[in-house]
Amino acid sequence: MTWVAWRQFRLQAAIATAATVAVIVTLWATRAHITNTDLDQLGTGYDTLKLLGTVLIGVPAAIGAFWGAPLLAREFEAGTYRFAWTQSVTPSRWLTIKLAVIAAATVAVTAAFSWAFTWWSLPFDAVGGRIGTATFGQRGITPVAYAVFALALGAFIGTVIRRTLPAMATALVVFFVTRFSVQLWIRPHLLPAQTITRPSAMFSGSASTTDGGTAWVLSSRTVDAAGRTFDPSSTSANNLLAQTCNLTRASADRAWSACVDKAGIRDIISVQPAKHFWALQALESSIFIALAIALVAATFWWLHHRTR
Amino acid sequence: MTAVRTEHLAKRFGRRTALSDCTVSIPEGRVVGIVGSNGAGKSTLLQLAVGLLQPSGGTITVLGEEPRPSAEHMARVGFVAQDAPVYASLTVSEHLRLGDKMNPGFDLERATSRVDRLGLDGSQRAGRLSGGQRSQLALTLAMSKEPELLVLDEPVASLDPLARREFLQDLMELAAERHPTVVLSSHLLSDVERVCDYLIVLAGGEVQVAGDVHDLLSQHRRLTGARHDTGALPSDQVVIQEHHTDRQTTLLVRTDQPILDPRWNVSEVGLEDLVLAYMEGQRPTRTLTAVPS
Repeated sequence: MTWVAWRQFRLQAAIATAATVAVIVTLWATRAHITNTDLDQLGTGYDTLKLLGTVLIGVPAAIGAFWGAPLLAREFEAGTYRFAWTQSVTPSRWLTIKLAVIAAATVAVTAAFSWAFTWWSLPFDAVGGRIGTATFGQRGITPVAYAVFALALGAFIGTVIRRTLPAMATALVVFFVTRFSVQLWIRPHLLPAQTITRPSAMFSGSASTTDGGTAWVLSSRTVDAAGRTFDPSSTSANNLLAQTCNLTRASADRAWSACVDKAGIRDIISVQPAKHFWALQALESSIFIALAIALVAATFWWLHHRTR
Repeated sequence: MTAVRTEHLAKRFGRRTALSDCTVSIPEGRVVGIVGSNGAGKSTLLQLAVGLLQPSGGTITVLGEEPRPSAEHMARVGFVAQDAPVYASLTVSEHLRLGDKMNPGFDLERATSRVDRLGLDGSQRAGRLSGGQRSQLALTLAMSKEPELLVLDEPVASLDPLARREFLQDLMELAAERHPTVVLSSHLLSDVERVCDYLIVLAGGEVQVAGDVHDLLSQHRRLTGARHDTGALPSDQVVIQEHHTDRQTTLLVRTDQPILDPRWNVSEVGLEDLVLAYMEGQRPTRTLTAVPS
């Protein structure tokens, strides 16, 4: 049975291996130049290479659609399940082995890609951080968890819908909705956020220089001395500063920004600090692995109870 | 021993009833033909027997077990589904290897020699085979599993007349050599007549008649006579089909007793007429009603 599962998957496995090797070689070949060069001096080609991170976000979705969804849907569509399941193998065992082979490939491909890209990005991340929403899902172990989830999701949807193309489309939509719902509404709360209070950056224009610029800023607001939230760009803010420090339109910018502290105007910023990166990675990955396990269980259940 | 036994077996797909109250027992070692019109429930019954479908009601026992409890059970049952599905991207040889890997009792030598004899190219992908060649491949795989029960859903539908004859020949050889129980469904009554010694007629999701072909033929008679009331028949004569013209009445009756009434001209019935009578009897427009005398 393992031979059969492998024989049917080997073409996809070969394509995936070739693509992954190409990515890793590219990243490896360009990394030395990044470490030896001032990041500002890097050519635009390196911005293009950063797009591999976007590709890495797409890889789990592609695995769900192209490996997961057709796993059972294609068998139902072509009627070959009636051939496969009347050999001397139970459908449960058949599905177990098929899933195991494809899951192994999924983990191998995404782990290799993500590990290489995380390593390649270290010089950039040292400056820009990697816990923010733009980069978090392109680093570490989450891409592997997303891919395992996408595979299980595709397999389940394919079992229920029983037609390949609709199953692929549905799997894509559900994957991205789940993936970004977690990013938007769950990830910020996985660990208690830290609150930072500091003199307002309203005139210095560098609101993001929190934690050396590497923290994930969840929210920020400006309050006055009495703790009331107010809009720092409003005229009342200007009036307040003008009165407190006797400033006029002609006063220097430096005088205005010095007055912010004197007037007691502060920024209250909620952040996930950079040091939470691996803990958040582990927590979010656990969520997707748990979802994947539930979907695999649901697929077996459906196969056993609803498809015959 | 019975190979397949069903009791009040029923299968519904949503609101549609595909099979209802089906009670049959198929004796071991026979070649059984299941005939019936499209939608009669043949495929449903066969898929229930190999465990691809689960009953909505009633029970089915196959080789003494519920269908599909284990790999060991499936090793005893060979099946070719309608349209003989195989994997389009695998070659003929790879299918044989698949059969060998997935079935403990698989006779690879026999399978290889059958494929060679049929002139199938081992390196050809199954997706490029003609419908007939694909059927032959699927049948080879099912036969080479050395099953105790071989279930074939419309096995000859896509074969040309010559291939059909060869296939039936193979089937009869297999039956003579290894004595498996063979259950096959077919539209082609002549084929059924050639190879089957046991017959089940399905219509409208119900079993109309089932039994040994010789017994069935000896139990049925065609009666022809002047038009008159069929209500006057002895109670042991069951009317299966009746035709009336202005002057003449033709009946197909089932009875164990000789027909003694001298008004009837009695003749034997062929298998085809017998099957058609049962299939027709099910149609609502031809319900059995006594004509006024």
